[in-house]
Amino acid sequence: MRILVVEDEARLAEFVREGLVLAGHVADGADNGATALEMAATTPYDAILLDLMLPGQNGLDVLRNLREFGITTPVIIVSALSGTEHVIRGLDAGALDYLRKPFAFDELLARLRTLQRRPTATEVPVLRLADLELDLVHRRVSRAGQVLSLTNREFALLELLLRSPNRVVTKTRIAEKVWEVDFDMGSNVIEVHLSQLRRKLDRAFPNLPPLLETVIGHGYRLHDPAAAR
Amino acid sequence: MKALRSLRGQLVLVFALVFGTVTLLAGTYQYRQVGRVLRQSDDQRLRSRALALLEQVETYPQPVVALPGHDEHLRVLVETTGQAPRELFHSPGFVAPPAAGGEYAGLRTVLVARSQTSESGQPQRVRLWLGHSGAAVAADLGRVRSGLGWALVGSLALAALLAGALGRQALRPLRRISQQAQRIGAAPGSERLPEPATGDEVQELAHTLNQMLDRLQAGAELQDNFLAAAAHELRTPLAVALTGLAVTRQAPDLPARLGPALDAQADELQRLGRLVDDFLTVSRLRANALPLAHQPLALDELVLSLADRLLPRFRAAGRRLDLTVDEHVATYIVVGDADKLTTVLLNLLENALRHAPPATAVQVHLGREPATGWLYTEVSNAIQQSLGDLARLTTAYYQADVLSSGAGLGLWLSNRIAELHGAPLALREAAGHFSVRLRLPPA
Repeated sequence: MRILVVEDEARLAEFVREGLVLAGHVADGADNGATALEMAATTPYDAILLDLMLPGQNGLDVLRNLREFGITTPVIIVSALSGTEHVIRGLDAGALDYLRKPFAFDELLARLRTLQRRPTATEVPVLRLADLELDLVHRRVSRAGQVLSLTNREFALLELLLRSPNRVVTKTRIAEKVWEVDFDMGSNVIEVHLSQLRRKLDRAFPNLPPLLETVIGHGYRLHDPAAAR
Repeated sequence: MKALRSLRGQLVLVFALVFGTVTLLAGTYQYRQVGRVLRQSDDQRLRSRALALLEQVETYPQPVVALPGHDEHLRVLVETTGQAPRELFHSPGFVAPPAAGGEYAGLRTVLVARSQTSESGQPQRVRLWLGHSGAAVAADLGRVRSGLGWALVGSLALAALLAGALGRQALRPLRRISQQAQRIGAAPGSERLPEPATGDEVQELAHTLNQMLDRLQAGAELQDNFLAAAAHELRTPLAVALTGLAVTRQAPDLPARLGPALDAQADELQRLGRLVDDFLTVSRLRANALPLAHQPLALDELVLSLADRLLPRFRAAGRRLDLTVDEHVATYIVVGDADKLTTVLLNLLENALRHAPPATAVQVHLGREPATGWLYTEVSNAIQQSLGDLARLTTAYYQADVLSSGAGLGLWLSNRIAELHGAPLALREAAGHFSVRLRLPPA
């Protein structure tokens, strides 16, 4: 990915850029809003990491200006302002994500990977199975026309299962794809998240046939009851 | 005694004292005057009766004396020059009344006299004493006394009532100010005291207090801004150090033996970051200025997201993280402040991670208490030795003995936040396991 790092703290900007390069990305830097706008307008970045407290115009102004100029590059705010009110203001202004300083660098890389997984124009934006719909663009899930409120983790789980309908997805694959862990999780979080997903997906609809199935010893499967018959 | 110390009580007391003293003095003076008048008129009546009786006294040829009335006592004496005085009559017991009249044996007496010539041509004096009971005058005076007494009591009661009513009226603005002041917390927001348009000292007091609140609010805002700035100043160098470590860790030419050491440093830096947050929260807690944004939130989703967040550190430290969610509970929606509850849960999870023995599991359980219907999440871990007095763990870190171990900032802070949400943390130690339960009322 080609990433623009907008950060006035020189050493932090340098470390972040260096880390991104080590992780295989291309990274540029800007230490103020005006430069950031100019660079974002002239270079097609895949993502912008934006600090909020910048000299001159602040990060939120930069974000609004970007959107006014029609630059739709996804923005992740990275800020030491940690209050919920700041997060909400940042997301409302058009940021896709908000990372609080100090952050674990691995978490930043994980969030960039999430950005990368966002659907492109050529991809089918809506995944369907029976009466279940998952809208990748608007990050909306509904069953039988009723909108479900899912956490990010549940959404990612459901997306993974929906991409392999009627097929067993192993726990190892779930760990790899959703948690980005390639061996033992050291926890039963997958089971618990799936149980939470089942609660919202199936148990909330007692009159509809269940869609999520546990295949003991193998993994999990989303299956279309009509297709099974 | 408390009532007397109040302004209203003192007002009532002063009014009653002044009214009472004035009424008592005026009443005593009036009582004396009335007594004098009553006695004078009684004397006059007695004297005219005595004169009438004296008219009827005859000494020659036969002594004639008119008999006294039912209540009257009479003595008649005839004194003739050159002879011994001759008593014509005396009522029983009425032997020697005073020569000039006055009080005698409980009777009021008068003396009247007449000069004449005796049958032998000698000058002669007839003296007549008349007495009657003083009870009538005493009864009249008694009625006057009781009338004045009642007037005194009445005026005292009236004074107290008036003073009470006046006090209530005058103190009403003060009471309103006091009630409003009770509602204002340690960090005043936009609330102000009511300023009555009375133009008196009460208005001045309210105005002065409001000016003080303005200054307090400005101070609180300044403190908030300072804390936000301090947070920023502290977090930025931490972010630099953490990112620097992470980048160094990724460098391909890094000797493998340095990896674990760098990880440990990164872990400590993250802990430092949490401590910065905790200290900022504590400084606001101590000032009773920690605002809670109470909103419905899904406790299960919050716990799961935090478990996800900490999972890499559990794995790196070699501790399992086991979660159980009671599926019989329909919903885990509670009312609380998500940011503050995150602080609590992160503290509990990090504590468990730090204190669980290697290769053991930290358990996180979500459920509902059957007795109260409250929802809870409980974090428990094995411990290598007993923790002793658990109450010590939630003692404020700055109150505890600095030499005692374990009484850290995190649990105290978490406990205060839990209390602000309705119930303190429930700490338990049993069978080599330590557990902390956070309980929250359902939405």
